[in-house]
Amino acid sequence: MDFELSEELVAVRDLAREFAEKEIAPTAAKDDRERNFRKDLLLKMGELGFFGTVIPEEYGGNGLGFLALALITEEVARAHSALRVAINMQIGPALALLKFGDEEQKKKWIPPLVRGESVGCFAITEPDAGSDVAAIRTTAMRKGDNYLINGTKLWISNAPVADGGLVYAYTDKSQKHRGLSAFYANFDRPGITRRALETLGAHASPIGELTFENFALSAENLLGKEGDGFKVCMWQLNQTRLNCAAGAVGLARAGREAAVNYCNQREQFGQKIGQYQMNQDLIAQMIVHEEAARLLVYRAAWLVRGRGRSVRRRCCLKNTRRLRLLYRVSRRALLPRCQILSDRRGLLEYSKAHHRPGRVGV
Amino acid sequence: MAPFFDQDHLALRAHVRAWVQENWDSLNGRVSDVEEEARRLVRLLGQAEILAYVIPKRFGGQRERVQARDICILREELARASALTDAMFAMQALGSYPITLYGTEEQQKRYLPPIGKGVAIAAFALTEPEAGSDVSSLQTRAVRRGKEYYLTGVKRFISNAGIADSYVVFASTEPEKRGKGISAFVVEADDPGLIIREKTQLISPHSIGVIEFEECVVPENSLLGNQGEGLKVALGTLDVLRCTVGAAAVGFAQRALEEAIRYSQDRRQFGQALAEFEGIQFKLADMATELEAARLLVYQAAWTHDSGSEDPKQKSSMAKLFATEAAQRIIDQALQIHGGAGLVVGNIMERLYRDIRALRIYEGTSEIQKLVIARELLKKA
Repeated sequence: MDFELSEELVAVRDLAREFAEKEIAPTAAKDDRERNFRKDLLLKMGELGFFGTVIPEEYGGNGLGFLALALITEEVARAHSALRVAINMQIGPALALLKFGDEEQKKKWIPPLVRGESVGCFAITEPDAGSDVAAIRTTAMRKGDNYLINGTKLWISNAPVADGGLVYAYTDKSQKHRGLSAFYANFDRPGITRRALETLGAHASPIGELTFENFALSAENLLGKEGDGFKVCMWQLNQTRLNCAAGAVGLARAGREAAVNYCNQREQFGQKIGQYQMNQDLIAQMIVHEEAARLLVYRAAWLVRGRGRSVRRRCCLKNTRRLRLLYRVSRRALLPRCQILSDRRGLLEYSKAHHRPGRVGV
Repeated sequence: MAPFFDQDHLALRAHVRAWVQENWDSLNGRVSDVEEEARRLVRLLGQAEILAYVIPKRFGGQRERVQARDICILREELARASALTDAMFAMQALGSYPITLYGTEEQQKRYLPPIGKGVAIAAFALTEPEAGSDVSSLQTRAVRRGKEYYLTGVKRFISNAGIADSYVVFASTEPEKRGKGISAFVVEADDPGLIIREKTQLISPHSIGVIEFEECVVPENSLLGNQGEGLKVALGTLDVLRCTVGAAAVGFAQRALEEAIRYSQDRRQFGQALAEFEGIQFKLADMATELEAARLLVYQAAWTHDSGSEDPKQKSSMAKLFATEAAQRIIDQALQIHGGAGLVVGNIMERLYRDIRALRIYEGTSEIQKLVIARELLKKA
């Protein structure tokens, strides 16, 4: 076994690269500056099957696997990092539905997510609950056949634009984390208000607050049983974490490529700045960390397929390292540009489209 | 750990791991005389048929073609137990691979079988007082007179100086051609004019020294490859073995991590084991993650070499650079977790801290690896 990509995977990667270079990259800086959520790109990616790699054909996917997903995400993130967030917002809910939903739920909700028609999200975080998921305060009160959701979710990617998503709320607070439940709902009903938030970067990936006031759901919206929420949540995060890392590799690569190109253009003291060993040192460190990170992602993706049991540890390993690395690599990548580029506009564009989204990923 | 490996690599790993476990005390004994210990270790590695992996099957080796993956696996497992054992194994590879690559049938028959059995010790003499990273500036001269070559010059930091039976020596036959005028020779320990000038002591016990050639006479059939091909012989050898230095670093770092995990679970402070503190857990997580990345880079480079799918040079440089630098950081953190205990002479951490240092320097310093990597990238862009 090795990581030499099969012909099929090479084709997937090439397709993603071509799409990213032709459709995403040309407007990346503009989309970032104008905070454009590109639903049209989401639909095109859906049509190309980008959201279906980890979903079986019967629910609209193509089953190409996690490595295919990682390859696609690297290419997308290389062109515009904000759009790799969009990928996870589709596959996160789709995978949770696939694993924990009943047949009716899967048939109803997965295909529109895979096609990119229904913009997804997952609502876990709250003002006082983040890493400590069990501290969630949102409740799902049973009223007759319905659940009434009340509470506020914060820093939810796609909150301003989502058509639906996963919502985590307590059906029984006294049970601690065993009383947490997971729901999937479309948001086209009363009881939900949205507020957009400004963040450091990834401006083309909208983020915000969701407030639920007597948001009424039925048993059809419940994933698994009451009390399964914590399990669903942890499982779901273990799936999307890998792809977050794959996006980081793409971002690091973009930074490194930009730095190398610039080193080959810019001249100072009579030679290309790439001729200076100081810059060669930075470049070598960038590519080595990028390659190490890529291998960790590929290996984790390979393990997901091979042996499900090991996924979690590999993902965690990869994630801590990769994201830390990403920051290091993209910071390093930025450094030569910062120091070399006297063109302030160029620097701003670079830092907006690449550096800041990267910082969020850490 | 399956990627990049075939079944027989996994079997080799299991085999050598078991061998190391059985011989743990013998590999970890107190060393009073480095040379004596070095000789003993080579014999031991020969008897265990571990050295058979550094030479081709035709000359008593294990495989038709010497594999970088085998050498990486062996170095990682040996280094985990003992730096000197790893070094002796690696030197048998370094001192024989030029002959495997460029030797005549006659040279191969003469030198390879005893090296593979561990009854002869091999050496590789490239570095000089004024030529290190800048190889082509070497000053040792080889002048042809009739059917013999006369070698004159000084080589330093030569592993196995004084205990080796054969030395692959690099000397200039046409100085005006600089790098293209360098040729390689196989010099035997008892060739007249080969003098051991110094036994050098390093921070980590290692058999190494300074040798001098004073009109050292060797027959013309000592020439390895063609005249003027010396640099090709040297770089061809180093290109294959470079990633294996990374493998040794991975072995040291693996040991450091194991020791740190064990110590942090045994040692108690403020009423709990060190491992209960998040500050220690973060260190362990960083160490394990860096180690995993280093290992993958090393195996990838070795696989790239063995599969012949692309030029392994850049990948090997990446593997060596990242793995040796990461291992230094991992060992430093492991020592930090040990606190004062890690400073005590004889403690495993104190030993690893000294053992790892050379790996960032020999067979191409980290700085040289960076130049190789960056220049390749700038060229491609």
